[in-house]
Amino acid sequence: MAKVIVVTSGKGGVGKTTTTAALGAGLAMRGHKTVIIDFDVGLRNLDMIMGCERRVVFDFINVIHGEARLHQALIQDKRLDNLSILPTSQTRDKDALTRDGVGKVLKELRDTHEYVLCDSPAGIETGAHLAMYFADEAVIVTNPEVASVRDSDRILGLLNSKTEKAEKGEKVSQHLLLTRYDPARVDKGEMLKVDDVLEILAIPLLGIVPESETVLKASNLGMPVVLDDRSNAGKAYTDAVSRLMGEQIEYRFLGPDRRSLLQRLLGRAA
Amino acid sequence: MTTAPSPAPISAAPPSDAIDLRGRSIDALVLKLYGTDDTAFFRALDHLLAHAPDAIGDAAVILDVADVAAANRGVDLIRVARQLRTRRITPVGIQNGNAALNAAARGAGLALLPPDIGTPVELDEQAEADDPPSSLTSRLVVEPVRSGQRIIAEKGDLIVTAPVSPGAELIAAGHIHVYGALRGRALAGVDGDVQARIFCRSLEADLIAIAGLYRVSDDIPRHVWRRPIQAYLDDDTLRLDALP
Repeated sequence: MAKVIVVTSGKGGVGKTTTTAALGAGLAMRGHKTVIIDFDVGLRNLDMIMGCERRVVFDFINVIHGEARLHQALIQDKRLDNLSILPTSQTRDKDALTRDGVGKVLKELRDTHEYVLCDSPAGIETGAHLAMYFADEAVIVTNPEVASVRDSDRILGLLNSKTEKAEKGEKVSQHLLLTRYDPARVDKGEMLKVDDVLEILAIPLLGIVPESETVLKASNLGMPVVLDDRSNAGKAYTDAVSRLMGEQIEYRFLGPDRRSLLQRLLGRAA
Repeated sequence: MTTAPSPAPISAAPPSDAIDLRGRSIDALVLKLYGTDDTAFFRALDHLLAHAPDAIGDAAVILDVADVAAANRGVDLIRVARQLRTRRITPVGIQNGNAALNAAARGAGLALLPPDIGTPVELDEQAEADDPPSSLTSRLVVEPVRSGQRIIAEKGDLIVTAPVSPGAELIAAGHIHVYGALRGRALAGVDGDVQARIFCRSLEADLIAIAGLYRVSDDIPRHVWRRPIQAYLDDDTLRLDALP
């Protein structure tokens, strides 16, 4: 039976979709049959980050409304055999999602996959609510700044009350992923320290992803950042995948960039 | 220098302690008149009194004449009031009357009361017996209280054994204890209990209030910030003392 994991944050622009793509690809690279689902109806992005936007025929909403079968809407990733993408509709809105419909699709995916990753939209309305409702686990994506931490805290409250598990008196297990972490700015006091964030959110840390240009580049190329095994962000996501699977790994990329002045002057290579 | 005008003589006024007029609200029963057959109404009333002699007791009774007014029917309020008094029921006024009924009420010595005051309270003999004993009116929360959550202890104390995030809200009729950092809002003694206190392991609150007196985080002195404290009312001042 598959695990359903929601990737959520409350706040927009913190890296939910990048994270969903990276974790999904990372799990698939380790041989786990994984599907990633875009819940951001109307702002279809996951397929772009995965570089399969030109292959979308049917989508999640079509399946929910019975206009297509699930296997017709699932897109097989070209790089990773174990990874498929369920894109969403760009023309509909969040109200096109229904709890019954989402439940049915997830049930079918649970039977055929090991991991089901749900990419939540920002906010706390229908889309975000249904993305988390059936989850077994949650990855809370947070940037080291107060507004993002506050919104993540709100989301944690909802995970403890507005999910199927919560209604049954069980708990959705929660992981914190700190993204866009810039050690230099943390040193200057412009960003919150890891400890500050952990003190408020008080949930286990899945990983720290450093702010990196490779994330933007990878997203424009339609390539999950985890496939770039030379970049720090790619390595950080690889670590996060290991921790998601229960491995104990030391945290990296907490200190400032150790590149020499010469290297920095020579450009931003590597 | 000008002299102040001498006060007006007051000898003509009656002594001020001869009268003491104050407003207060009372609990009252509302008895609805349907304006149909008087005989049926009093028979039903007698039946009620025979089965539940204490149902009305000495309570003040308000006559709701909305239906009578709607039916545009008259009712002899003087006679109804007299009939009620013979049953040891004390009508004090009417509500929901029209012009004619209001005039009749004045004639019958009944007050004109505003239409429904608050929501009706169900008269349930069991209600008091079913109330949990006071020790169970406190509320215990063991999970972190997250932003956007509001936890209310309506009748007693609120005890939280985890952190309270910014943007969360704790509300209690009694004391509030937080065995963690208090970063949200905490409002103790919300029903006016000036004895209520707030205790926490680390004071980082957005706002704390006791019986309506509050301080926002800007008004919290730095020497108690992030310290274990108790907050209490000393006359009309909200005090924050560091705990040992």
